[in-house]
Amino acid sequence: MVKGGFKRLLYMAISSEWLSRKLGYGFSFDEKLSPPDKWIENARNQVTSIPNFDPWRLIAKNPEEKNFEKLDIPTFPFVNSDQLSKKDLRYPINLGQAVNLYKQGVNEEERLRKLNTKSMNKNSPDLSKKVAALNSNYIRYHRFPWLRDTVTRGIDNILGSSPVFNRFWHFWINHFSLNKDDCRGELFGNYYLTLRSNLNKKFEDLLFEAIWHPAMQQFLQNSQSVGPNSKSAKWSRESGDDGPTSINENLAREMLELYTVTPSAGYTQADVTAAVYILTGWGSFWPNEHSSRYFNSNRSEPGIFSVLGKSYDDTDLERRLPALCRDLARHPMTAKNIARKLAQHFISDNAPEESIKEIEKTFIKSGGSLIAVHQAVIDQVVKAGPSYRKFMAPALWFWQIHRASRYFPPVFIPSFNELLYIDDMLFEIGQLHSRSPQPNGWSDSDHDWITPEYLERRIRYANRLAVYLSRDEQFDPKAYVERLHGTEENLVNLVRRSDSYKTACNILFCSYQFLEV
Amino acid sequence: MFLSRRNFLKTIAGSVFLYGYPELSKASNNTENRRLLLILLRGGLDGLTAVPPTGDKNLNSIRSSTFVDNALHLDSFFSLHPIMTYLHAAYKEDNAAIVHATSFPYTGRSHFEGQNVMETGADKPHAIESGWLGRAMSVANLGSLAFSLPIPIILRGNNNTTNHYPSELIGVPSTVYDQIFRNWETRDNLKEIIYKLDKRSLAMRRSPGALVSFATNQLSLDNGPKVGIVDLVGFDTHAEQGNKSGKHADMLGQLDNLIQMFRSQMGDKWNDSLVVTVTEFGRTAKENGTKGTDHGWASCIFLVGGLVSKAKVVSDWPGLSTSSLYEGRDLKLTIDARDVYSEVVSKVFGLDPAQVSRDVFLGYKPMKDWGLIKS
Repeated sequence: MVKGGFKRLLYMAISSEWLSRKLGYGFSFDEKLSPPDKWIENARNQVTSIPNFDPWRLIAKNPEEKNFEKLDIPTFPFVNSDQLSKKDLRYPINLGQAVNLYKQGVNEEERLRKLNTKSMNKNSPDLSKKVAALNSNYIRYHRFPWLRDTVTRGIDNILGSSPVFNRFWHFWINHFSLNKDDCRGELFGNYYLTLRSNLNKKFEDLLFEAIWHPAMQQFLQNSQSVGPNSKSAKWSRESGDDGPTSINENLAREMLELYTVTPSAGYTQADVTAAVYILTGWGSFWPNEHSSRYFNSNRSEPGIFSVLGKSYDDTDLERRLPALCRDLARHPMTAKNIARKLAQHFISDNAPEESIKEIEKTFIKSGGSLIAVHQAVIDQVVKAGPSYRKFMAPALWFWQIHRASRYFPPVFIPSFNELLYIDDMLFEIGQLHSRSPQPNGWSDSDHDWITPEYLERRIRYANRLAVYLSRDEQFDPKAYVERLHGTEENLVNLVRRSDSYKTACNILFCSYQFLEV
Repeated sequence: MFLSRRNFLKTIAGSVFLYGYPELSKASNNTENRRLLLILLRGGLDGLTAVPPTGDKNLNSIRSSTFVDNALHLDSFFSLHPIMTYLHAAYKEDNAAIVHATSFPYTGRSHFEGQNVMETGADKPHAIESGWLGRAMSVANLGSLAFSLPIPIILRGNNNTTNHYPSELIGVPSTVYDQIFRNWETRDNLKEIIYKLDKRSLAMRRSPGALVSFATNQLSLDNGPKVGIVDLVGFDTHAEQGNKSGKHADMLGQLDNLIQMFRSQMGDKWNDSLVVTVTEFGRTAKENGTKGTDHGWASCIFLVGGLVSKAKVVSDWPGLSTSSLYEGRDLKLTIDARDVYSEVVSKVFGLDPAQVSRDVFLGYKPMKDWGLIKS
């Protein structure tokens, strides 16, 4: 916590508007912000517990209604079809339910595939009907859950009252990133909720909960990795069935490289292989023989394995992974890695080394307490001050321009014969969470986003939003720009003198003063 | 003074398509019209699937579900994946060469570090910011255009770089741009962007094929850009890799199609063209437990086009027995990939090899000139 006279001095230099943009999703044109010291206090409080998460109420006409099905909310694509009703708009809170939905999707897809192959052979006239069924399966089990995720989180970013907490949540979603090509839609939402519900615990808890979650297990294919000397591998070899009898090191490698210690810890191939063996047995949600955490000891490699000098014995196979997670989380290189990533994300690509050190020290001293670490980040953002600038990645900018104008259409009206959904828009401007191209997530380097193509697309998107805003002109770009940067003449004049309302919005949203914070 | 949208587009043509470079006239005549299409194979190309060493008796025992049969004949030792029929035909016409058991000296098996090394051309990951192709083009004073989002690291280090990727968002009137640019003019990192911003006058679909088609169209112009880059993602087949068909074969099929399309659109200019592949690493020699392969070390490089000197597979084959594999699992590197890329930039851009060694590959000296490309 920033203390004493220094604190007073600092607050003269910073505004709550800047804080809300730096640590949250910005401020709405009609939003009254508390003074900086109160704002910081509130931000520090936000990260001490898990805020209530019920975004649909924020856009309901009758938010007090207890029964979710009776909430009066705008129509959502796909809902009210044969397969989906309003209750499906909520994330699957229960993991078992998410896994069942996942299995249901796979089974149904298999059934339809077989059916289609048959009809193709017979040249059946109702083939097109069956292809349509396959498409609707794709919408139900893939496209819908991805869209639901973007929209649910989006509503909360734009209208919710815990933006600082959400920023940290999104940071961790990107740290433990998944992508849609390797993970089925219905596991996404529950995975994100799982990360969320661990943000008041320690990093080692978050790590373990992310690693064993079926979404991650499927994404990095650990659910297919089987210990070569496990019971299951032996049975497969004896019976000659086609079951897996050996390992896949995908998850183990990323766990060391990206999620925890990084290659600078100097681990060897032997360390990676040992981690692979410790990971065998997890992700057994298919078939049904497993513990409550989807661990199947029959698939786990027996033996004692050592990773980075710490050894894990096989008295209880299921306890090896939490122990490994704990040790990796407590490794000094993990604190360094996380501190650096947080500082880059929240402060600047060139965050002061001193800030990184402070976050790292807090990580180590608190035993990886996420509350303490997140508060340290808030304090360091304040301490570094507005001279440290960060160019906003596309998704953050997207939520910020929407929060500024308080405009959130869950569905884009299909005028202009254009794209309809918010996922498509995020994809167009370059950053759709469910499309993160590789397990290292989206880049946090300014220069990956400052390119002609990406910026051109932001201009196009801002123009699109301006068209909607111009319908009622409730959002006033001229008033907003003064609140944003009252002293920066260049921008204020440009917005004031722009040739139309739409252009004024576009200049404001695409100015460097808005793009950077 | 601020440029109008119309004038502004002409300036773009200048920076992208090589107009207005006085140095250009100094380039020797036979390299002036040369064109390079670089295809980045991200995820790790499995050299043993793409170009199986069928003469190595160990291949059969280390590969089962991923073993490729009916491979196409290249020479007495190497074969080509059967899906790459177009590349095979080019090989028969002396228009394709392959370098095998090659990679960068990086052995850490991380995609992110490996891709950084393949693009920066440095000994170690994250050692430098710029890319080897960007440096080479900067030395040769050439502009470049990337068909990917974002601009790949490999092109950084050259100020005359822009990128292009088709968007489905509708365009904005040029007057809006002009007003936004007045704001950007005051900011260093954005000022540069103004002059590179591209206008999507060409309607195209967002598929690798459409991108290459567009790239080729530009590259085939007399004063067109000299280099195109295409990203192909999806070689990271840890599970169910497939063999003659399947995931890895699909990617090789895409590569083969891209080359075919490039050739047909380049017309006569094919004789002055070179297509070269780059990947971050190969995959484990031995198959893993999920019918796939994990991250390994050495792989292969394809060179295709009229600039290829002769059909051949260049390799100092290290062998596939456990003792000859790196750490008992990966194909060893015997030819440094920088040897190949040094030759590529020297010969396509007409640069002195000593200068390439000094300014592009940071002091790295190739073992020798492998004679892959016409002088």
